[in-house]
Amino acid sequence: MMKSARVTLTVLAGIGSVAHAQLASNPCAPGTFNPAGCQAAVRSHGYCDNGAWVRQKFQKYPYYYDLYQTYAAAGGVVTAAPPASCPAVRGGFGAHGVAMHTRGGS
Amino acid sequence: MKRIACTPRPDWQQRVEESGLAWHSSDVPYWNELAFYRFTAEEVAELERVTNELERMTLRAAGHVIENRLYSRLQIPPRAVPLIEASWHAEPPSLYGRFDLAFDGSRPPKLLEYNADTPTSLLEAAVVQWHWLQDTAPSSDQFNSLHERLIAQWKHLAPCFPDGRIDFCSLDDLEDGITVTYLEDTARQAGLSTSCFPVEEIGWNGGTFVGPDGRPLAGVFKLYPWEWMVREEFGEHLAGASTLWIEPPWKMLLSNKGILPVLWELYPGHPNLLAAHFDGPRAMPSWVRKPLLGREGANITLHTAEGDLETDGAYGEEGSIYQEFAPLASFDGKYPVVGSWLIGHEPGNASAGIGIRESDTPITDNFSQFVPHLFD
Repeated sequence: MMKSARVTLTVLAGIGSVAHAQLASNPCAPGTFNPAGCQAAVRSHGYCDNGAWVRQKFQKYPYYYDLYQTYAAAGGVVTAAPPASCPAVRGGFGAHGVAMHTRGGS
Repeated sequence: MKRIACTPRPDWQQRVEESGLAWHSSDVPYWNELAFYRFTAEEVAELERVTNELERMTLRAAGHVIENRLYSRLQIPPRAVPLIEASWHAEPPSLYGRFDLAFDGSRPPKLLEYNADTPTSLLEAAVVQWHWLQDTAPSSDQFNSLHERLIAQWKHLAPCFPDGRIDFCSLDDLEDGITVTYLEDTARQAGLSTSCFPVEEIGWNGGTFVGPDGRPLAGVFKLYPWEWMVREEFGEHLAGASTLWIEPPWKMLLSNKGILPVLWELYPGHPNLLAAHFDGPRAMPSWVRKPLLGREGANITLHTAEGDLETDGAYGEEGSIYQEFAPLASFDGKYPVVGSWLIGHEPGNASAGIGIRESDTPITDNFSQFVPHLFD
């Protein structure tokens, strides 16, 4: 019983902390859960929110999936975060090779 | 080890192009099948044994540099140190490397340098010379399991890449581009999803590196040297990004010529090493000065009793090392260097084949020619 109760509390605490983080575009938050977006966020250690990158070290994906399932089963409202991408600057690699008119291989 | 003159296949240009070797000829042919090298099985076994031994030694040397923080001796910029140390301790994927060896069949192979980060001449070693063997001497053998070993290594590495995907990039250069296209092909044969684009098209979106389509890059094979990456604009983002790079950052220790004197300090007198020092030629009567970050035979000084021979280039400001001169044996007036390939790092089983480039001078530069080989 004690073990079971402790697990339940842990899960509820996790839901609470993530669901109330007020990260409307966080694809791993239970209220805005987006499976593909959450997997990408876990891989990339962050996600894009209104054109700006939010760096975040996530747990593994199943952790968020379980939170989402529990949240939804408890009647929580889920509005999936839409896919978002941040504008990228390019050309930050390659300058040496171009300037030296040489190859990268050797 | 012998150099044997032979008649080229009448359609050799077409045959090598069919294998992807589009750069077989410029002012002089790069691919040269007017001759081949014939080895004995014992010589091949010796090259394999030495390659595995050098692999073990170079891994120890990399660990020695990290444990003793010898980065300044190799002119490693401070920005690169966290990258190197994190990748060394995480043991991320590593695909391949190439030792360049002086070898004549009679004396022990000697390590000239280690192309650990961005080795090329891979397609010709793995595929083109194998097709040459099948066309000209199918009953003979060749020290070459590169193609199947590459596919096997990608399969081994596949669990490291999210969604089974890896992207490839290089400079917009014919030889580099075809080399990464070949590697991409081997990755696909291993079941990975891939794409390929110029390294200049990598983007940074404020938190992660992205490809030309804006997709975050989880795993990237880059045929672009680490010593350039860490000094370029995006170098500041490398430590904080989650992208898994192949080759990994710690390989920049081994592709640095400074690893040669480190090896000599760890293994003085080793039969497969040449004496090498950071601080000057010391008592060596004949020596070669090599820039720490030099490439393709540029800015080399060869000093012998007969005088100095120097090559041009844009390297050397970062410092140099001095290496004992190993007189390459001359075969019909040509100076061959054996490129001995490693795939993966399995102890005692990394050696995967050889390719030979020969030059008109004792310095192997980007005018060298690739010559096929076989053994009986």
